[in-house]
Amino acid sequence: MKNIVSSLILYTVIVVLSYYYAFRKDKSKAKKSLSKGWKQFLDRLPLLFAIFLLIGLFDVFVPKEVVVKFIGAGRGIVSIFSAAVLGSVIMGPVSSAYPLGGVLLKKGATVATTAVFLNAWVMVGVVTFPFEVSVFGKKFALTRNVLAFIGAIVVGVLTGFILTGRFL
Amino acid sequence: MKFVKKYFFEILIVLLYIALMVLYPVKTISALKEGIMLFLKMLPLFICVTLFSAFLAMFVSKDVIRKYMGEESGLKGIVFGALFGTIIVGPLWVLFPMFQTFLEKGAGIAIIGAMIGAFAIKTPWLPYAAGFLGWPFVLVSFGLILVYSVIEGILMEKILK
Repeated sequence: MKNIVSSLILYTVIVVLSYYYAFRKDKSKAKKSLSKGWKQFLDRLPLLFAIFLLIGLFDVFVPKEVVVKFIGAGRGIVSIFSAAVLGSVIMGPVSSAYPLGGVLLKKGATVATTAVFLNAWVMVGVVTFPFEVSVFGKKFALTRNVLAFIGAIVVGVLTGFILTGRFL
Repeated sequence: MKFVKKYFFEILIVLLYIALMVLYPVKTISALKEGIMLFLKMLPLFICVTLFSAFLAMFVSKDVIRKYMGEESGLKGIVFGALFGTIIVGPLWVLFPMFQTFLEKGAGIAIIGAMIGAFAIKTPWLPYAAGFLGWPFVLVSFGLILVYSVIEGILMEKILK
């Protein structure tokens, strides 16, 4: 929550300052960009709302404790891969990701598995994918997410190797 | 039919909710509440970013974007993009419209790709993350993500161009 409030303050200041500048410089252009931005916002609203409804389903039907139990239990390639998949699907602020990572380590998950899970969480967005497609197009969104998924695994496994001397 | 195609995902979610509402009414209602709460929390932030993107689109000239974020800025530009990515805060998807505006204005795919990649590094959250994971874990993974984000940007440009 603190995260959201501080970024909101930051972005509000940015928007106010930029439109202050805009209205001083060219009033009609400023009005035009304001209405254009608002229209874009309304256009994207239904998709965004649907995505958040999906996130709500995930939160309730796949509670975080189940995820921790699932990832923490295994070792090896299977556990790395499932950590990557689960991390990609889960949506949520980093403020809840890091504590969850801490819990995973305590429950006996390897460094590599935990790192892969957290990396996938912040790098890959399966649930927000339809939104990403609507903004960038299918090809861009797909390429980015595939590369991010691979990167989450590579970076996580390397992190584990550097810190513990073991790959898995 | 056009309506169905345009709102395919939204319709899918509504149907999913209806089905789950029949099977697990209590859980589904709490999911609905949770989803709406999260949505309302994020909404102001999303409005801000959309308005700011519209401002950028209207008031920042293509030349400026091209000069600082164009392809010809080379590896230096990509590294700069990645470093910039580490300082921005907020959820990833919120900033997508802004990145798209940069791309439309002539920013290089590699630079935007690196920026999105390095967005996974949340510098302001560093001490917080270290509190749960330890400093070695956080520093090693953030360092590696930074390196990978540059590679990711370059690969994205190679694939998409």
